[in-house]
Amino acid sequence: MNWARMLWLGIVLTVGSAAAATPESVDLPDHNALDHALQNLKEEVLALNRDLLVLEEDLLFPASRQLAVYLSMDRGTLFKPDSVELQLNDQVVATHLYSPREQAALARGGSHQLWIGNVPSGEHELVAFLSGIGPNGREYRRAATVTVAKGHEPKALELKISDLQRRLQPEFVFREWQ
Amino acid sequence: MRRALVLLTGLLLCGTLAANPNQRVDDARYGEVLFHFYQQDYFTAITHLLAARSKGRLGHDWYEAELLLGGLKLSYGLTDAAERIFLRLLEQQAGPAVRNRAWYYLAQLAYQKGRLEQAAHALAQIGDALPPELAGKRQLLGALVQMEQGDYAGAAKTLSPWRGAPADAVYGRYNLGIALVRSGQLDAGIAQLEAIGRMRADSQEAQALRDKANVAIGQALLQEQPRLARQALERVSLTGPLSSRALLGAGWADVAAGRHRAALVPWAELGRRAISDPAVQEALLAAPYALLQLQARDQAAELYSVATERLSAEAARIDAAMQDIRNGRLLDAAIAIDPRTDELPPVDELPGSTYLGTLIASHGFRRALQDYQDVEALAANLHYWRARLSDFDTALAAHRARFAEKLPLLQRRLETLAPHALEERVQALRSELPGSGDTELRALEQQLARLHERRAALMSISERAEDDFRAFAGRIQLLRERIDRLLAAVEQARVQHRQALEAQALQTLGARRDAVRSQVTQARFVLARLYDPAAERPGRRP
Repeated sequence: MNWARMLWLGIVLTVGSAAAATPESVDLPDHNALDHALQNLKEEVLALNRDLLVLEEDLLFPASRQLAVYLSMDRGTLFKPDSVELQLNDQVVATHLYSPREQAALARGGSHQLWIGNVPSGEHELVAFLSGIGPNGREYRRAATVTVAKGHEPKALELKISDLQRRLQPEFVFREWQ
Repeated sequence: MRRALVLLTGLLLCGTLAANPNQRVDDARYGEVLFHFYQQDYFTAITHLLAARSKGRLGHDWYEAELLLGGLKLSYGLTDAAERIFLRLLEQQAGPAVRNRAWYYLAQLAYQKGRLEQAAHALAQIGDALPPELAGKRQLLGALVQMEQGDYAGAAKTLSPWRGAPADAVYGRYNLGIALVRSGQLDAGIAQLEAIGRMRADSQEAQALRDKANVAIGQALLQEQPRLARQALERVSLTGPLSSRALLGAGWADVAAGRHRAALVPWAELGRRAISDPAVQEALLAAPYALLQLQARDQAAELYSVATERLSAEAARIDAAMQDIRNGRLLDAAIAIDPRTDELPPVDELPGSTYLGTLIASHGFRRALQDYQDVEALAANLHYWRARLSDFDTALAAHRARFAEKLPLLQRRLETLAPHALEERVQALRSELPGSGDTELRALEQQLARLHERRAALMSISERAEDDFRAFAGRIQLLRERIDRLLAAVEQARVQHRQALEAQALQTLGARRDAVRSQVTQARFVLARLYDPAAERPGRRP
């Protein structure tokens, strides 16, 4: 009996791993050496990406003209965004469809950079059209508008989706982020 | 034991502690980092965090951001860098909330590297006033470390009472049950596991935990209380990933209770399942064993014969799959697996694809696969930027062209701002009115100063623009050289990691093939004895 039980336990405990079986006679590379080399390589590529992102921003979106728009959510129990379209001075500049993974990231406090671009100094009108699932699981569409005064400094705007619990309705508000 | 605790470890390593979950973000760049982090896109999250810092645009608390960077690097496999960050945070004046999380991560890192004493030490440094999420994780990791050290009673003590988030209590209870059973407190341990094994499972995750608890009960009670063991195993979902193991165990529980005929029922069910499952392979030998106990020698011999054939064919199929690995086809299919979902790609036309699940379940293969996928992602990233640099060249050329267009206008304005006439007039007035504080003269002098300022500003635009263009061109060129150098290094790493992946796959499947071959040998041995007339003599049992 014991051998039988042990056989089953062996399967239960080691299934999926090769621990209980005779290993194939293959030469496994030195994992530690490979791991350290890979860590160094990753660090170098990360540093390179940092420098490339900085260059991209300096070159393509100089501070004096830069305008960025982010979308974020506060809890998100009353609205789950499916898509958003952003218009700048009546021109569509960005559209985005949110995947379930992105919706979850927004609900946990992440901010999505919806658009970054260049605008001259002065006043500009931004309009965001949002559609998604609203209260009671119904389709919900809303628009939010803001007039932004652009100076010589980079400007970031947040389009925030909040829950208005007392009215059981979501609220969509633009605000400046710096 | 490690296998039985896999789920617990998974809960620990999800890394959410890097970001404070209850804190609403009031910083666009930090929020963007979190957006990528929460999608497990660690590479992008790290680069955005580093770039925001480099531009001085990260307004968030420095310690929190540093902790997040450490957590991100840990999740991205940069364990050495992550460790340095956490140690640095502890040397500085970070607040207790950040320090506690840094100690927790150091404990997790030490545990991952097998440094159990160090892990226990780091856990002991965590303070007592903790948010529930961290309190629960500390309990779970502490218990895991103790169990690895063989201190099951200590692990049970660590897990009781549960101090973590109520939603995670079920994981604490599962591991408490395991620790109690392993420490010899069978009844108390079974009671904990029974609570989970009988709970209502509303989600796939809850169902998986319930099945796991029931298999653990079956395992613990198999010899001493086989009927209770069978009851627990019957509760395991017939369609879940543990169902084959539960059916196999149910048969052994019947055997332990002396009900050999009953054991044939679950094993016959297993016999209809895919033979690549180790539980099915064992059932092929277990069923004739039960028949032998029932003195049904002919039927047993027949089933042993069938088992020999089927298992031999299975060993040959694994051999073929290993060949598929050597020629690269099966490895290409494995590489397409999304590590975040574990969903296997649709590769039914490839015979060896049956073994992708076996490969993915192997820790060594999984780690090698993750490394290889990381190298592939690095290569894709570098190729993307290599192409993107051409866009930068184009943008820079456009900037230059626009500036060249505006230059004549600028020069004309400079000419109109030529201050000679005004200077002459000021000079004349000064001669006419020496030492005088004449109002007109002062006004003219101020006007002249403003004129000089504007002229200098316009001239500096012209000179600075050329310097800026040259600087941009230089940065682009340097980055292009770095990309090319890294692309060569990544290509070399890709070859090395593919070889490592292939070696892991061959080792994993080779081990399975050898196990199956060993079963074939066992079956042939019993068959030989069954056909041996001498074995018929009284007192001899096959």
